[in-house]
Parts: sequence; structure tokens; C-alpha cells
Amino acid sequence: MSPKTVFIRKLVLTALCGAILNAVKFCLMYIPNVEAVTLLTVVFTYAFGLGVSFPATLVFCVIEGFLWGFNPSWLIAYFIHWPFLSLVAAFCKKLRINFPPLLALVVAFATALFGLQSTFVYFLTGGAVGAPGWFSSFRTVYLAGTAFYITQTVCAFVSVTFLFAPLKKFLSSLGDAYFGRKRPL
Amino acid sequence: MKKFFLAGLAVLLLTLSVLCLVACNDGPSPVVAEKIVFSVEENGVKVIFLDADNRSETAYDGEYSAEYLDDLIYFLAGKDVLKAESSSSQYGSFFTEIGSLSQSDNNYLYFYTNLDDYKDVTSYALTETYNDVTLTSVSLGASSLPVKAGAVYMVTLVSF
Repeated sequence: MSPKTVFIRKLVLTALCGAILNAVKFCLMYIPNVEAVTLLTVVFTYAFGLGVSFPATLVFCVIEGFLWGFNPSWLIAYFIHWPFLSLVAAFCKKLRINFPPLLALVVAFATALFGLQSTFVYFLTGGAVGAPGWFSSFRTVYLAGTAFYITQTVCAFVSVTFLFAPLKKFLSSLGDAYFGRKRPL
Repeated sequence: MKKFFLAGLAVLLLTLSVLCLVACNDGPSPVVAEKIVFSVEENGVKVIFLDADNRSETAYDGEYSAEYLDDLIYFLAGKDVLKAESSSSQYGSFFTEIGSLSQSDNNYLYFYTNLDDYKDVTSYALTETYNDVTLTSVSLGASSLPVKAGAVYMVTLVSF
């Protein structure tokens, strides 16, 4: 397979992975903060490499913008969190962390940061950071969302613990068939 | 080297495109619709309906039993003062309809208050006025807004 063919296949796979992330998020959106995007981002990184998962998370964020509006109050938090998660997964892959509960712990920690980060981005893009009393308001808003953040973190931990290994095996075999020996990263 | 340069260029282009789309986003804007005011006093609550021309009609003036705003709305719905529909979950109430205000694709129910601790302090905040009292939109749900004497709440529609 020529490098050009590998590049084109990688491009197609990136778009497909981005679309899958959106589709699963859409399917689960009626259950607050229960999502499979975290699990899939990690699995895509392990099965296809950062070269596919990182741009796939960007595709996911752009499509979310088209679906829900390009509102900086939450969209910037998405553009920080999901690519960051693929970087964390790539780092874990580099460290050869393959034991699902350990990987799930790292991913759950990264997910737990989302609540803090997204609340901060809301205040930052709203020009409130540094204003008198902003931290008290930040704390009130963050604490009001605690139940959501705990749900998302537990969901990330459980899904990665139980579904990471079978999904990685399945997608890696599909990746082998798709790319042959010229696997990207 | 060329590969990283191209990847960096692609990310830069994407960032610029997204920033352009973000800059075009108008944010929330008030919709001309009825407004419902809940004015909490020491021994009771007043519910006032304000129509689009700001004509007011007191729908209820009496005692209440509620800890949070969602409890108050359910209490008033139980007394047939207003209609209330919500999807309830373990996280609290998400109102889809209160009185004549009904959520649609682009229009959402927005709560306002005069309580400093619950006001949205960002530039995303919207304001309304009732009886010379400035009410600011809140960044929390009705389940997180305590009902206190002296507090004024308003609910109306906002378009995104």
C-alpha cells in the first residue's frame, strides 16, 4: 500500500471515527452525562493511533458546534477536553498501560477535570474571571453540577474498565485489515 | 518535519474557522412573550403574569410551602395557578412548560432573580426589570434556587 493510499485511508477513518463519536453521543444524550465518547476516544487512540483519534475529536467538536451552535461558553471547553483526552490516551499507550482498571483510573481523572475546566471556561469566556466575587459564583455553579460530573466520571471508569479490552481487540483487527502492515502509529 | 508543519497548519486553519463561527454567534436574546413573576414575601408568595405589553395580573397571593423554586412551581401547579411540565431526573427538574411559556426548538425557559449569590456574573447574563427591581438571569436550574423572603424570580423565554 502506497503512503498516499495510507494517508487517504487514514483521512477517511478519521472522518468515520468523528462521525461515530457524534452518533454515540446523540444516542445517549437523553441520559444526562452518560456517554461513550470517552471510551471510544481512548479505544480509537489505542487501535488506530493518535494520528486518527486526535483529529477525530476535532471533527466531533466541529460537528457538535454545527448541531448546537458555536457558543464559546461550552464549545471551547469541548475543544480543550476531547483532544486532551486523546493525548492522555496516547501517553498511556506509550507507557504501555494496557490493564483496563489502571487505564480507567487515568481516564476517570482526566474526565473529572472536565467539570472544573468547563466551568472555568464559562466564566473566562463570559469575562467574569477576576471580577469581584467571581470565585464564589464559580464555586456555586461548579457545586451545582457535581452530580453530573460524578456521573460522567463513574461512567468513564466503568465503561473503560469493562469495554476497553473487547473493543480494542475488535477495532485493532479491523484496523489490521484496513491498513495491512502499514499501520499508522 | 513537513508532516508536522501540515498538521499544525490544519489545526491553525480549523481554529481560525471555529473562531469565525464563534464570533458570529449572537448568544441568547429575549423573546417577546409573557413573563411570570414570583415575588416571595415573609408569609406568602405573589404570582404575577405580565403580558407582552407589560400589563400585569396577579394570579395568586397566598401562603406557600416550598424550599426551592421548582417546589414552588409544582406547589402552584397543584393549586391550578399555572400549568407546569418538566422532565424530572435525579439531578432536578428541567422545565419545558410553565404557564403559557413553552419551550421549542430555539426557545428555552430562562430564570431570573434578584438574589446576588445566584446571579450569572458573566457577560452571558441577561437582565429584566420588574417594579424597578433589576433581575439577572441565573446560571443554575430551578432545583438549585432557594425560595427566600424578599426574593423575586421571573421566568420567560429566551431564544438561542
